[in-house]
Amino acid sequence: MLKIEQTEIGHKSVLLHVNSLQLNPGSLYVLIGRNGVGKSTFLNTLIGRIPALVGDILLQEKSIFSYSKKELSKKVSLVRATFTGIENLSVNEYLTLGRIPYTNVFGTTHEQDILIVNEVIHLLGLQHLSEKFTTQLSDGEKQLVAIAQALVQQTQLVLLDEPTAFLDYENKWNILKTIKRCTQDNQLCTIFSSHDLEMALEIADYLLLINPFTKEIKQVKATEITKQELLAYCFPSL
Amino acid sequence: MKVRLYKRFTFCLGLLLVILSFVHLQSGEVAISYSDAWNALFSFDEQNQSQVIFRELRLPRTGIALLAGAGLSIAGLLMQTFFNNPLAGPSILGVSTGSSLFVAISLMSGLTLFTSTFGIITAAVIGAFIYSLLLLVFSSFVRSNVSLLIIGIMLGSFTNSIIQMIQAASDVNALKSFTIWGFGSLQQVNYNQLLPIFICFMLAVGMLLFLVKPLNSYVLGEDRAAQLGINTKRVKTMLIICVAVFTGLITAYCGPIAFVGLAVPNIVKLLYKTCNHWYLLIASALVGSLLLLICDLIILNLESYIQLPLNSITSLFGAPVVIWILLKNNMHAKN
Repeated sequence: MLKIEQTEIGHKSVLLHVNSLQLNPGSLYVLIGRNGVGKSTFLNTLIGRIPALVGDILLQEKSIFSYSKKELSKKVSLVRATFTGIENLSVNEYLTLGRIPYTNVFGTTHEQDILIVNEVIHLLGLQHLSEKFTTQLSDGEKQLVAIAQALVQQTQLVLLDEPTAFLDYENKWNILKTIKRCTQDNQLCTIFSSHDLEMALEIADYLLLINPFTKEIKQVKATEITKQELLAYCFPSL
Repeated sequence: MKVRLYKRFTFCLGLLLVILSFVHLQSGEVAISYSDAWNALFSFDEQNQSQVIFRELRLPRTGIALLAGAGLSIAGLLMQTFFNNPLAGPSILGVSTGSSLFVAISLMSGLTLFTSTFGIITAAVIGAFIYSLLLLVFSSFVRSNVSLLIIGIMLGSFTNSIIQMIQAASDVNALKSFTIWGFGSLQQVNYNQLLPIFICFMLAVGMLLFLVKPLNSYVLGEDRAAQLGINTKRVKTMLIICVAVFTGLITAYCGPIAFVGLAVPNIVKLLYKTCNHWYLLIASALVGSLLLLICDLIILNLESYIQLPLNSITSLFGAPVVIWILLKNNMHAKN
């Protein structure tokens, strides 16, 4: 569903070079690379915030830069590394805001929107949190709720920028398993960046590896690469 | 269930506002009968003293108190959501002062076009618009809430000194009226001005309807709002126009009223505990009107002993609210 060929990505200077990438629904992709190598820039380019320097990015056969903002908001969502909570905003209200792309100019929510929110709440087991304020949640719960909002947005392409960076071991696994399950059940195309190599190898379908010298993104099947090979490619100066 | 509670509470606020409006209309040395009040509007008799008092003094004063309270509170709420800063407000960030500067310039110019009702409203709105724009530019450079606040206060002081220079150059009569205006006052609007002010006000309210959805998404941050398909450029323009009309309109006729725009939305958020701007906007308008009516009732009832300026009363409760917010945020950060 996502196709990138001969494309250069970066703010002003070239940060990354993509020769050929084809990402499919139902698969979980983990983006791995050194700090500052351009993982976040890559994700920001995929949601259309930063234009590609050379080449194009095709989402469902159409350039992502030709979509209108509203159309794109129904196709791609991005979950940032940290969600700190918002005062006076309950989890239920927070999730309902994920329906904004589908509401009319006054933001009226319909029965179907509420149904979808409740569905996601059940899917992720957030029933006991739905009436709480987002500021009252633990770090793990906050991250879970942020992912839930992306699911409520019902985009097929879901991007997550280091979703497990600040979580303990147990919460990390919970989040990753949830992401994996949703990817398979809803036929999503999920990309998340991570520094946790063992977990990436275990949970991902494919790895997107960034070499800091050639600045190239390489796609490999998670089952066909060892940790040593991965380290050698992403962190060659180690 | 929660929604029903909100609706009931809002209804009660509205009811209280209606009652207080009648009390406010009846406050003053001369008692006015209902028939006089009715006739003052629909079959006005210039010879009847109580009709003249009602039409020229009472009604404009109550009317502008309602509009000023609502307008400033809405402007404050818009700025707070947009800057993601509970300390934002039209008076504290210098938007009211910017508006004052342009009113002062247009008044001192002495040209009839500029000193007409239309000219003053236009000048005040343009002033507020330019200062909101300045804030928008500054806000993209600073991250901290307090930095923006300090920039706003500096902007206000800077502008105030320019206003004082203009005052120093003007004659005694102009100086006196400008000084009284600067204290904040609800007594300078007459019957004929009330309608144009009301129409401008309602135009801005009309625009506001299209801002509710963007405002709700801005709670998540501008970045996420854009991701959810909100056209942030258009929202920014509309928002600044709304803030400028509400602030400019009120400042032109009542002077720079302090703290209402800052305090009221915070009180409303405390009462409602929601981020839904349908409730926040309506409740801010109601509470703002209520608050200004109460402040003015205090002034009216003390009138025979002392002439209190409006700003002295609004600051009396407004300044503690700011301190309270800062303390609350600090305690939040510590935990």
